[in-house]
Amino acid sequence: MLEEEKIGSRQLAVLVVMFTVGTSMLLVPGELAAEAKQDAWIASILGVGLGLLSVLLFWKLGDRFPDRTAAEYSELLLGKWLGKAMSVLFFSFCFMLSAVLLRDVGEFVSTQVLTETPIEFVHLLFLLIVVLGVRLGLAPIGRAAEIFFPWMVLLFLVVVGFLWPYAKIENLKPLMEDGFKPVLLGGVQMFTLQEYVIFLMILPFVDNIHKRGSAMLKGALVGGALVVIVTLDCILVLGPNVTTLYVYPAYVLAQKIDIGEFLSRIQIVVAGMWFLTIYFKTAVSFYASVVSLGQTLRLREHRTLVLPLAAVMLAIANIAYPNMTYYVDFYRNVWIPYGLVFMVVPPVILLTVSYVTGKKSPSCS
Amino acid sequence: MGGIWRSIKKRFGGSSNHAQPSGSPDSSKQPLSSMLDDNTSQLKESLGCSPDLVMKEVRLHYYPKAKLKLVYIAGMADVEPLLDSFLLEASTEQLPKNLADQQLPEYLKTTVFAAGDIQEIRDYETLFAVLFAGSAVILLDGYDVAIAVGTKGGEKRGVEEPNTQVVIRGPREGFTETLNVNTALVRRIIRDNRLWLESRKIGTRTQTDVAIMYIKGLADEKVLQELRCRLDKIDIDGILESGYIEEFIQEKTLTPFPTVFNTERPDTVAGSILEGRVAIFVQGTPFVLIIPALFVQFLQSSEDYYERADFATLIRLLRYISFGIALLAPSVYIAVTTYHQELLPTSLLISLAGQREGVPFPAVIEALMMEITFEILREGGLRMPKPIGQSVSIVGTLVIGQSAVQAGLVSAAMVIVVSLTAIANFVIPAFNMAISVRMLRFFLMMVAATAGLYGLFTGMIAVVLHLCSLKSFGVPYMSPIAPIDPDNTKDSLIRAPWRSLFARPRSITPQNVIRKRKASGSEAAGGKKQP
Amino acid sequence: MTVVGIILAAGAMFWMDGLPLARRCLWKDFWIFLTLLLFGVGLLLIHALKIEIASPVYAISVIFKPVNQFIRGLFS
Repeated sequence: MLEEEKIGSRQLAVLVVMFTVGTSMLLVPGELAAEAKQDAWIASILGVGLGLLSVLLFWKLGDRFPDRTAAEYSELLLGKWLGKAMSVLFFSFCFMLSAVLLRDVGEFVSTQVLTETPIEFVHLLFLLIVVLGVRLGLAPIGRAAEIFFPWMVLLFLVVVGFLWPYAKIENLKPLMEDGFKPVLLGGVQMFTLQEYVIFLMILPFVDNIHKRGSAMLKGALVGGALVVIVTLDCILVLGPNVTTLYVYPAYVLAQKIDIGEFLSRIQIVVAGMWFLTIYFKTAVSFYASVVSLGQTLRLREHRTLVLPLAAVMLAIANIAYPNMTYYVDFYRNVWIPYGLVFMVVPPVILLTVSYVTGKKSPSCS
Repeated sequence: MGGIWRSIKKRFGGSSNHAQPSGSPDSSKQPLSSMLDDNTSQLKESLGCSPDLVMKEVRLHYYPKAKLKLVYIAGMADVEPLLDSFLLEASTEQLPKNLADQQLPEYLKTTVFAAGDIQEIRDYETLFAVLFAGSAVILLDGYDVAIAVGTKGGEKRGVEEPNTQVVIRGPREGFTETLNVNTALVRRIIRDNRLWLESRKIGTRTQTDVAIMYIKGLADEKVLQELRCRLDKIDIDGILESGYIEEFIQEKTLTPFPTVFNTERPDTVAGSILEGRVAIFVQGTPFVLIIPALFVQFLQSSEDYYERADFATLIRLLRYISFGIALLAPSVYIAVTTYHQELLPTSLLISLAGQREGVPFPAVIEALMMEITFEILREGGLRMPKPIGQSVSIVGTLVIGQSAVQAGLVSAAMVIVVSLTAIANFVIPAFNMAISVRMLRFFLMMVAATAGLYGLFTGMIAVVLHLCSLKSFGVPYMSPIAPIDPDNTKDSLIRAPWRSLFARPRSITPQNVIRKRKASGSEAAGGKKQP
Repeated sequence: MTVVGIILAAGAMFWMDGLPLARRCLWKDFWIFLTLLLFGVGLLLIHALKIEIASPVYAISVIFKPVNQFIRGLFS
């Protein structure tokens, strides 16, 4: 195990919130608006609901093996070869997720904030602090998340609060114009962007076994609520068509803030908030990938994997897509099924096998 | 590999590897001889015939034939009371009982110096130890034992107001350089029999007294064990100040942040001990160390507890804001003016742009120049003699700043930012934390100059992560902020009134969390949180 | 320029983590570390030299685009 120190359940909840908000806040409104137009907010609520269901699934699975990660109990449940294949699959998902998140940051910063900076440099800077975090361990990451959490909430309130004057209810009409199917599709899309399955690798490091599930649930609820509010705001203030136009509608939203004529164009500060959440998402995903690879390969110390994996991650992030169009298309048409499959299929398989064969950790609960 | 080298050294290097502490003979346990002359000449030789070693002949009234020599170090021993004892002996009319039966050493111990702090000495090592501690030694002819009498004297500073940690309201006592005076000052505040003191000598040549003070039952045993272990590991020839000890016992990770707290004030120490912390006193310095040390401690001051709660809360918040300003102000200025001009309100932007128009340097060079100049002025002002010092710092800053602006070297806004940063730095009560902030500021400035606010966020995340990974003797450095402990947050970020401060920091004293408190709730009986 | 930087960074990474592994005779860990490091650094170098390589994203696309069609089919 990489960790001698465990994180508390409160920190788990905060991490889940950060995880949920992470990429979702910036990408989800645009995605959902493209699918469901003005009903995007209903889709987001649906997505949150689906996310909570998946949390329940992971809670149950995590409780069957309180002190092992998914990579470890895959082998226990499915036997040596299938199990190893499953844990390699887990690793690949966590790792690809981290690489894609890194690319997300790079894409956002180099197109919106530091437009003259090469994307590789943005990646490098971010990667440095991700590596720092993962090498320091899960506990400092958890504590740092706790420290940054109030700031994130504050900035979020600033964005939402100052924009209510611009909200136009007409933007929500007509309700359910195209029926329920687009909303459902949107909900499923948002659900996959949550990627909670990563936490199957993190749960064993939380100290209080009984509080794990409820902490995750609380985090998912709060995070989900934040995303719903942002989506709602986007539709209300910008309108469904404009929301569809932009890749990062929430950022555009922030650009419209104008407080008393002296505080305007503070979108970069909002970006900072988003930046914080995506940092924690990336750090946790990368940590999960390091642990899963380490356990698959039965290494003594996972810390040694951090640097080389980081190098590979950097390479993948740099070459991932050639341009923005591909990026948007990727998210809409490739990542959704990929994430969906991974979020649902392996855990269900593992849980079923566990119930059928009756195998589980001699539990301490 | 290393073992081979070591054995080669041993064979050919001889005993030159082992440094002999000067002042004690080769075989340190060499016993005293029975011949007085032997002893005195041995003593004189070992000290190199040093003139401050005084040897006086004394005579006893009831042992007229006995030859005694009184030996002490001038300036360290206060022998007046001792000589008075001799006079008293000489003038006693009554013969003591069993005179014939008593041996001379017994006679001295029980009768002549009955009221003293007596020790029997049989070897040179102990002899030197007590001599240098300020005791006087009576050497006896015909006996291989000597009697040491505690006569600690010598000049020392009295108890004055500490000048590095000043408060408006509160005790004005500060520690002095003498260990016993300092421990006594704390004992006067905490009159509990469970306040325990452990002493040891560290430093092979200085034999400095180092004492640990804690309340048995409140202090965490694991921390104490760890502390004792670290102190025992210290192997150095001289301990001049508690800073030496601090460096040896602090955490081994590379960090600009202090993990050991120091103070000159007895009330601060008493408050920490009452919270379950451990204090370390070092002979020769008024600065007492306190462990474990947490981040929030460095932003607290004893005054917070002597003033009203609402005012103290606001002042604490002000300190946290100042901490932020001191750390981030120049970096934010650089980031905003270089990369994110759109953040500024339009009118401000126009005037800033106008100011920066004539400045030949980019914002980061400007900032670095001003910051370094300010650091130079500050350090210079510290060491100037008092009459000049004041004027140099004030006039220097004003004049240099003003002239620099007029010469077009820096913009006026930069001067304001730098001055604000410096003053905000002084708001931080603990000097070692203020130094850390000064150092970190430069790192953040560089990051902001490279990548604007994005870089600054990255830097801040890195700093926070680093802070969160630190531990002081096993306690996470950032408790109670993270992991959040609502009971204790009441005392770190704000200062809640005494009624609600009923819990000791859980991370410091896992046992004994609730202090006793009176029913009226207006005063926590015997309880005083970390000032 | 970037190439030099990458090689220096690789050297630093090796020195920081690889050498201690070798010193402690943890050979399996060491070889895994080295393999991954060389792989990552290799990719980075190739990218720095502006040579085009396929991204794993393409592989995922190939596998999952049909899945995507399937899912959308369910919803329309």
